[in-house]
Amino acid sequence: MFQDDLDDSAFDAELNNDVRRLKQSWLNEKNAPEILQFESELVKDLTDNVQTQIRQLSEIQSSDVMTAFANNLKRMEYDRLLFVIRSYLRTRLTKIQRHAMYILSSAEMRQRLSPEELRFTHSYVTLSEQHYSNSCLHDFPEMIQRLDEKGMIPEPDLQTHVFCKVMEDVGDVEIERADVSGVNSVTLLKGDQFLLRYEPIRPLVANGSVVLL
Amino acid sequence: MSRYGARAVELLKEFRRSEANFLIGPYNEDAVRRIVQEVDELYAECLRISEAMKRTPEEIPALTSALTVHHSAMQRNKRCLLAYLQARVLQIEQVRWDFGQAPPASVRDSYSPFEQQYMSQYNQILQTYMGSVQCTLTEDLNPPKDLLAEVRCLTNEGEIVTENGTIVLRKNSTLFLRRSDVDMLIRQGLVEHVHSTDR
Repeated sequence: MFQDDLDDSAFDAELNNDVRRLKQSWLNEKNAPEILQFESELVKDLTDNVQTQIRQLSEIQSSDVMTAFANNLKRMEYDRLLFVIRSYLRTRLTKIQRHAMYILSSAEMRQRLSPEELRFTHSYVTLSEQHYSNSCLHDFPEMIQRLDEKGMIPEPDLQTHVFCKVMEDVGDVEIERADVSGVNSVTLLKGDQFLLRYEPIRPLVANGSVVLL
Repeated sequence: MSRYGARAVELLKEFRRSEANFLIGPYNEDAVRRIVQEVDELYAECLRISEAMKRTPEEIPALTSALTVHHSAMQRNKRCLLAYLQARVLQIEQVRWDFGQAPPASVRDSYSPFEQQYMSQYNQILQTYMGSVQCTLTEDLNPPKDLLAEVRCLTNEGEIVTENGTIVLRKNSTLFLRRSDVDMLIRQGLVEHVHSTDR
């Protein structure tokens, strides 16, 4: 009995930790201008977990009011979690649609996608190319029919500003090229919040020392 | 001759105006055709200039700038057209998310034939993706607040199969349904919330 409790709480702690990480990845994804590394294990573990729990819950048909109430609360919590997972995937899909050709043309971006997303991106790019070609490119002189010319493919704007919170001491970070007058570096200390250009803190978001808000 | 690229800019402005009113304007086929035509003319002009360069090498500096102007105008027209098409495509995709697979006829009517085709193919690849991750992304668009929602049926739809079993929709009857089922029904216009919630 005691052992069981212990296992449960260790399991809960891990689950809670996963949930925290998912929420942060979701926020990062929502606020970053470019697509970020897909958290494949996290999403898979949580989805499996929640689905098992929901299945178990629906099997329990309790006439006890308190249990029924507790089950409803649990179900509500799982619903919220599912919402975050769906919203996370949706946010990524929106970005993929906006910058599909750019993502597909770069090996670095491609490996950030899940296998399913990569498949989607391929079909999506084929579809868009076909659509643009049918609608106008097809009627152009042959010389300029190509879609992958410089400046024709929209790319994410890495110069946009983002709100961010520092999770661990990083020290001085160059935030402006030296030729621009004024402040050109800031000291990032744990707990600080800033509104910064995305590009300079890009590696910090990737390694988790800075999170987006 | 009119200013190069003026039509393309006008087309994008027109798009902006309808977008500001949350409308999908009709596909401006006429404008697109005329811009394509302008590109053709510019291209022909570019060819003429480069021919002239071969014939009269002494005028190359002057001709080079002419070539640059025409070429940039051509690229600009192309960029504007692509921007127009992509902006519309993104709207069409949004409609798929907002209304489900069957958008209102008024919206559909403003699509070009190619856009209609795009819509159905986009729908397919989206379905394929959602199938592969086993997750219906098009529901649950707002964060959940309650487990159940009280709704009133607006039509005699009869039996409907949802994630949580079969329900019968009879006009003006009220039902307590799981929120995840309700969202889609509301967007399809089959039911409405009994208490206007804070959505």
